[in-house]
Amino acid sequence: MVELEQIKGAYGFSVGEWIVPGETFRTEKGVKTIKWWENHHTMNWHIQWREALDNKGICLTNRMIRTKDHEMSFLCTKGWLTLHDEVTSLFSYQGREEELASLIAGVINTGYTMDWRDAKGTHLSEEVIKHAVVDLPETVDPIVQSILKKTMDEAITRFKKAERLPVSSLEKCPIIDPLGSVKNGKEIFGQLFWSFLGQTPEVGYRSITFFLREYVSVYGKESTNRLLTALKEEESFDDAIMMRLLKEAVLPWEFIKTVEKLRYVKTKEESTRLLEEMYDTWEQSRALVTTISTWLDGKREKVAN
Amino acid sequence: MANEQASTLSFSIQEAVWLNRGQEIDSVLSLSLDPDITIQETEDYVTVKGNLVLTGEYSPGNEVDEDQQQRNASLSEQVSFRSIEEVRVSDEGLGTIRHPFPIDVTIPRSRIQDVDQVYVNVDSFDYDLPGNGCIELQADVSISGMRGEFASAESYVDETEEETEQEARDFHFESVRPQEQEEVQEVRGEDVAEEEKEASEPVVYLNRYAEAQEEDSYEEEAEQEQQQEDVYAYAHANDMRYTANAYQDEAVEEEQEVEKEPEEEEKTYGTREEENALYLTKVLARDDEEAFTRLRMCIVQAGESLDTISARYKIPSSQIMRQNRLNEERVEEGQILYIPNRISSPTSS
Repeated sequence: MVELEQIKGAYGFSVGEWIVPGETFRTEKGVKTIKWWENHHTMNWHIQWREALDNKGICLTNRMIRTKDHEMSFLCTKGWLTLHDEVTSLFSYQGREEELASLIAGVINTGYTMDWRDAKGTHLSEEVIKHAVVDLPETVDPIVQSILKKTMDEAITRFKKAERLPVSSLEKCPIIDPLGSVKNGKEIFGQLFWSFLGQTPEVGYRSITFFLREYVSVYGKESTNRLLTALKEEESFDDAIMMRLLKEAVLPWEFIKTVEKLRYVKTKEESTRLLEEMYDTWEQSRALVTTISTWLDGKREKVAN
Repeated sequence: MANEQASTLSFSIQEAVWLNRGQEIDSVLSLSLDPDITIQETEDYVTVKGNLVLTGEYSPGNEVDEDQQQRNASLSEQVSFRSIEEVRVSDEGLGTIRHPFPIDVTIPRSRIQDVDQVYVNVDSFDYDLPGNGCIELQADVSISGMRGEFASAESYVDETEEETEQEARDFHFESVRPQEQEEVQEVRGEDVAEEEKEASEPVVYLNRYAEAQEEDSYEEEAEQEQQQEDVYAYAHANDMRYTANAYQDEAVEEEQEVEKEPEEEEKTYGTREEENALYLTKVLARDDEEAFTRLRMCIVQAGESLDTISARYKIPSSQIMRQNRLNEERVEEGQILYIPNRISSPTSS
């Protein structure tokens, strides 16, 4: 267990009391959360990321709290840690889609400026889809295997449709810390506060699409349309980016992810549960694809008129 | 007059069954059309009800139809894909087709020679593949076991004249769709309205229900029907094209098939009130395992929205969207919507 006194001393707190030992503690300046880093290099990337985003003045983020020595990280006996404010009030997106749009545009813009040699790539090919269902372990329920094989053709169809979209492969892609869940949006002092998770940096727009997929599922089409319209109002956000988001939504990522997870299941019941999860996510993707493409169609009609 | 020689009531079916985009057919491996019929007797009528069930297997086209992509399809059409539930491919990688064509034929008892001899036969059946997402069917269907002759048409004229006004309200399309319409996701036929000009011979009546708004041209149609009260046969399907023939051994009646746009069709047939007509409101249910939902069809008028339609039928817009597999709330003038009415209890025969 890390010594709380050690952290209190480093950050200059006079009061410190564990709420969740090793994770969160209460101070005279509010509740603080500890983020542990296994990789110093990764930690530095995220420090740079949050500072760059925060400096844009778009919204508040869970940036690293400085130590008494003005350092953004602290090396204690257990390893590298950073300290962050804990905010629990969830942000209410309805009617405030513009604020989220600014964040998304800001994330993409900031991502263009970031560099990361080990960033996670998100390439998908027809061959990957075709081979995904080959040699699944016996722990996968035979019915699940059968359904996955049936679904594979539709997954390939999705891939082909995505590939046909007019998206340039030469344009630079942003490297970003995935937004994660809509639940990462918090509210403090009436402002949007985004809690980044410090995940492995990812190249491209896929994670934003995953976020939008959940968004349309939770907040519905109308709010998502307002969000898309607000995104379009962002200076740096053009149709090419929207088309890239659409492409990522059409690609059958949930199919691939499910098959990957199925290789590690231990029981047939677990495989069935994963399949049901894929059903839900597949439908969420359909809803997002419909929403974005319809929005783009509507926009084209307005231009045509 | 009576003719104890048994005759046959025949009619032809022509229909285009469209599969959803992404369900393109490479080749049809098997296709069959089988009657699944029950015969019910009432005091005055014998009713032949059930389905002509189209079943088959096809080899799905693996390639996305590039032409479709290149057409003026909207972006949303280009990128749409099927839900898991819609993915119906057999273990052998074959697509399956199962589509019931509900049929309901009401025949006066006087025209039945022997109920035990009433059979529904598919005399001939053929198909064509005009496009890889469409199957065009043509079938000749006959109902045997009826009298070859019948009371003179005049005896029906009076009745018909008396009922003209009532019939003007009663005549309408009726569409009955199975609640589970899984394999064939979408049926988009060329909407065709039939005008059947009959002489003095009683002939087949083929009615379909469409949500109709106007009665402008109905009266003309009703006049043509005044002498046709002998046998009512009506078949329902979504966007079905029908041609009707009289008894094979009877005099020939004129038949005119007029193709119309949905908007025109809407003007041709009766009003919503007409669904009260007894013989047109029967919900078909044959198989214990199948429950059928009787559907009304609504042709979207200018200025209408999903909300106004929802309010008119007192059905949640979400239910209409689900029934019609709509991905958005926008509807367009001329678009046909299926309006679910209720789910009938399965009946056993």
